[in-house]
Amino acid sequence: MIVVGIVFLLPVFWLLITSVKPEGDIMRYPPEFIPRHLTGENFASVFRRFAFGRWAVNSVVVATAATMLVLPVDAAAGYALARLRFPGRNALYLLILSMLMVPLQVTVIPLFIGFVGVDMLNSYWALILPTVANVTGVFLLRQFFVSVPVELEDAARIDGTNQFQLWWFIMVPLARPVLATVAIITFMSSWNNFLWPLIAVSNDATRTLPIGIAQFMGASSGASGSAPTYGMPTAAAAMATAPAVVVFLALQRWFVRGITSTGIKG
Amino acid sequence: MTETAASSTRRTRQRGGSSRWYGAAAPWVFLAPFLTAFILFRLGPVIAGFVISLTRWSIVGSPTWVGLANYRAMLRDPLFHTALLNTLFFVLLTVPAMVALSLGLALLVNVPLAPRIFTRTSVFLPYVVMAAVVGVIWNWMLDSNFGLVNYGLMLVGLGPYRWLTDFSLAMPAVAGVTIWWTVGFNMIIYLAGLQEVPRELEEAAMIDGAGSLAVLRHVTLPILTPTTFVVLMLTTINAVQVFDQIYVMTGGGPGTATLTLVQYLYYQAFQSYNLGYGSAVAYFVFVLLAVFGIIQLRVVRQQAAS
Amino acid sequence: MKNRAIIRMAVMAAVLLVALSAGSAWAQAPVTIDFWGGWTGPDRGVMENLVNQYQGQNPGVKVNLFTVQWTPLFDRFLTSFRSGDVPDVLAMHWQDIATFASKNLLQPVANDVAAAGLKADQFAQTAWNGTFWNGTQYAFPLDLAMHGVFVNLDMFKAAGLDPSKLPTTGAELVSAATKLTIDQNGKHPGDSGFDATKVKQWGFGINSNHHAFYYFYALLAQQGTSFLDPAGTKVAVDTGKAERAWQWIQDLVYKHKVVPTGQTNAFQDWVTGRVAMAVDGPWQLPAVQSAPFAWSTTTFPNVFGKAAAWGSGHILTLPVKNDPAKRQAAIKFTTWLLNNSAGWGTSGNIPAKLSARQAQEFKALPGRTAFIDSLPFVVALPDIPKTNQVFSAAGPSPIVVAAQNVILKGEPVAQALKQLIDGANQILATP
Repeated sequence: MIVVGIVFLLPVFWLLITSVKPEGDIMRYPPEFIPRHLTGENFASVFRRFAFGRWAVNSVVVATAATMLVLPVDAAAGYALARLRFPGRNALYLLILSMLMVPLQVTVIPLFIGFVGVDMLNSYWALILPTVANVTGVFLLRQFFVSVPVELEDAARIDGTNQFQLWWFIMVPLARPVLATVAIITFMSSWNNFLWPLIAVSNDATRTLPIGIAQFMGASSGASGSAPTYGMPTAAAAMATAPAVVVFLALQRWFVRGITSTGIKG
Repeated sequence: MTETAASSTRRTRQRGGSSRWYGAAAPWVFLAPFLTAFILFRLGPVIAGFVISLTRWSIVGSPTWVGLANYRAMLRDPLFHTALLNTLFFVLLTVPAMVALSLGLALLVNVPLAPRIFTRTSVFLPYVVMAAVVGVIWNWMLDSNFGLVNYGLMLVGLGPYRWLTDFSLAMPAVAGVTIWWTVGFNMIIYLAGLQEVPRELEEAAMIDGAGSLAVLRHVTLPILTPTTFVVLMLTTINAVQVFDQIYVMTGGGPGTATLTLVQYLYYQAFQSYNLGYGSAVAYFVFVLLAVFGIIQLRVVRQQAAS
Repeated sequence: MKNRAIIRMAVMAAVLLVALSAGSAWAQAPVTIDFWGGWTGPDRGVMENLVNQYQGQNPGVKVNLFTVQWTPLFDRFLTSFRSGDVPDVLAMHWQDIATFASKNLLQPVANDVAAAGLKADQFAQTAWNGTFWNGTQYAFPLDLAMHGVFVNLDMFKAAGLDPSKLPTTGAELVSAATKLTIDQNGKHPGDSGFDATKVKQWGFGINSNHHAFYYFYALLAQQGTSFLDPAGTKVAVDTGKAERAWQWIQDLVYKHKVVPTGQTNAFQDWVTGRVAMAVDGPWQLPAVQSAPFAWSTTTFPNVFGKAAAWGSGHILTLPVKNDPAKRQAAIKFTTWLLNNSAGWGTSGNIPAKLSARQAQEFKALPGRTAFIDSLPFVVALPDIPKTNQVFSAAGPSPIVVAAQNVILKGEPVAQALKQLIDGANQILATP
């Protein structure tokens, strides 16, 4: 088990090692796993030269707000699509699901034109709102709610619980492992999103980490290149990864506390 | 599965239909917030994107209506054909492996042993790394002459392999990185699913003398079928729409060896400023995935029936 | 008497008015200039310093430098015309002008360049020419860069070669590279028993991306032929000469065996001491400073008798925008950048302005000579509205696919060339 973990961790470990090496030591061959010089300079210059703190705050605000909005919204929609009867339900579900199948790149320009129309570019809202339409979340939650035994709801209904209470007090707590999954997906997709934030915001006040970091992510892609640098990008990447790891660690206890441990199903 | 849902709802209505919270409007109250966002930020833009696919447009200026010309051009475009075949190859390389591996890993880290939090976290960790950084790390690890991977292999007398520059190795290499990057995500879906498997059931089967493999096959897997359906579906969608790792690692190369549909879409729409043509490719992806989806749904239904 | 009092009052009022208006001008909110460029390596830091220096000297001006890789930068630029945050100054390359000017997104600047006291004879001629498209000047020339060869002098000496005579022709380069390629038994390519899979040190490094097409493009110019017809409407290359050009490049890998197969990043392999010589551009110079070996640069090899090396340059354009005050501020800033571009030389790029190259600050920088020597024979890519498609650095553009088929796949050059010509012609024929 530990071996599996280490294999997966190795590239990330390499990233961390690189971020504490001076630029001149990074490209040595054969590779050095133990840095010969340790430096915090890469981290320091990211902060000194860029609004890294500001980007990080923006990323946290956007990703957190997106997650907070998506969870109740998707849980309600997933529940309705799984357990409530209304005409056109299956057609609606298929329509929603089918939108997973259109590559998101195609929506960027129409979304952009829409946000220009309501003059809401360069705001947190422009970054948060589009993520609320999280189809994967609805899909996961709907699939989960379908599998919950009907008897459970029936029992509660006999006690006089109304539909809303049933959903909020019985179903949502049951769905915790799935909600944790949806939370992670939403947070991560917001956290790492590049193309949309690039187009939607254009100043440090609302700029998020991926666009910020791209400003010094050296590249040879242009007609004339820029010399590659590794120290600052890896330091920034390491710092940008950390909050996402914290979110995962915080959510992961939810995976082991499901139906079985609460004993409801038995 | 859909049938069971429908029939169970029917039973719900018969037995406990007395509560009338918002009455017949209840479903729409539950759905309203999501549908509002969905229509504004997904369905609307997608429809607009379809309209764009019927035009010639370079982001600035006004679009020129060309009807189905982009679609006709697409069918004759050799690069599009290459991209389609490469995408199918990538699906074949990643989807079965991803499902099997994520299930295996989920089972592994669900075993109550001491290092499971460590393992679970390290398997998941790559998923939180930004695409651009994945590119930096792996281009470096997989460099044919001086990369870490070949360095390691050469220490044990293997290689060197030209991972990203050999026309037949590049796609498998990208597939490998994809699995490293995203298997953790599929693992947690399985992990969430596994929490629904009543431990009592497994324990009972064990007491009855069933081996752990038999328990897995006859108790755990059947209960996980809905989860497998979810993982299969999401993995297929992600594989057909593969873009980020291709963009940062190979840009579709060497030659056109890793050119996939969405990489081609991006190249046309955002690098060549043929937004109409790029959008047409996107709608082809949509049709392709719809076909995959229908096939998967059929298979799952048949299995559920048998 | 009365009249004089009135006049005095009038004069006082006038003085007061002037003083007031001057005061209000002085108290005006600072002008902000949005300045976008694709510099994401050490060059970003150099530009940042220049911007800070300018802001220090001009307290009323704030310059917002935004950098991201060229491709997303231009996407962002195109969308800015709808969102209304069009940059005041946008950097690009010579060959990019047509792409944007043909869409009417750039302002002609000939009058402003003249008004700023900038004249053709103050600049490297190719750099000045690079600011024009269709006879109209659209940009201020900042710098230029071309291919050259980086040489590890320690390895050169160790192989018994004379470091004062670096290779300048194709034959010299191949001969030196052969001596510099050493397998683990100490054998060179061509020796019996040479093992190309166990090479300790390679002689030469080349890139296998769009730059490989640029090598090819220079080798065409060396044979006196060009890729497109003069109007830029179709491929008009002499196929015999084109095949010879690709063949020379392919032979480095498969015949002479002096370039590692499957190489992707020639410069990185060179700067880490695994390759003795590598062809790349001067933008890599900031990364050489820390190299733990003696090094030098030499010109791009003259293979076919007439010297030519691919080159391009950064230019500063003023996107179409209706804000005269900002426009003036942008022109002032741009002119200042050009006049103070000696410092920009630390980014590796060669300042376009001759006076900047005369500055002691620039002359002290190492390794620039070979690139400056290349100035007279720089060849630029065609600047046509479809340059961003035909000559795109992104895969699967025809030039990237051709380069990789030749270098990485080892495909027969005639076949790769045919695909290149067909691909380019198809794009050029599409409306």
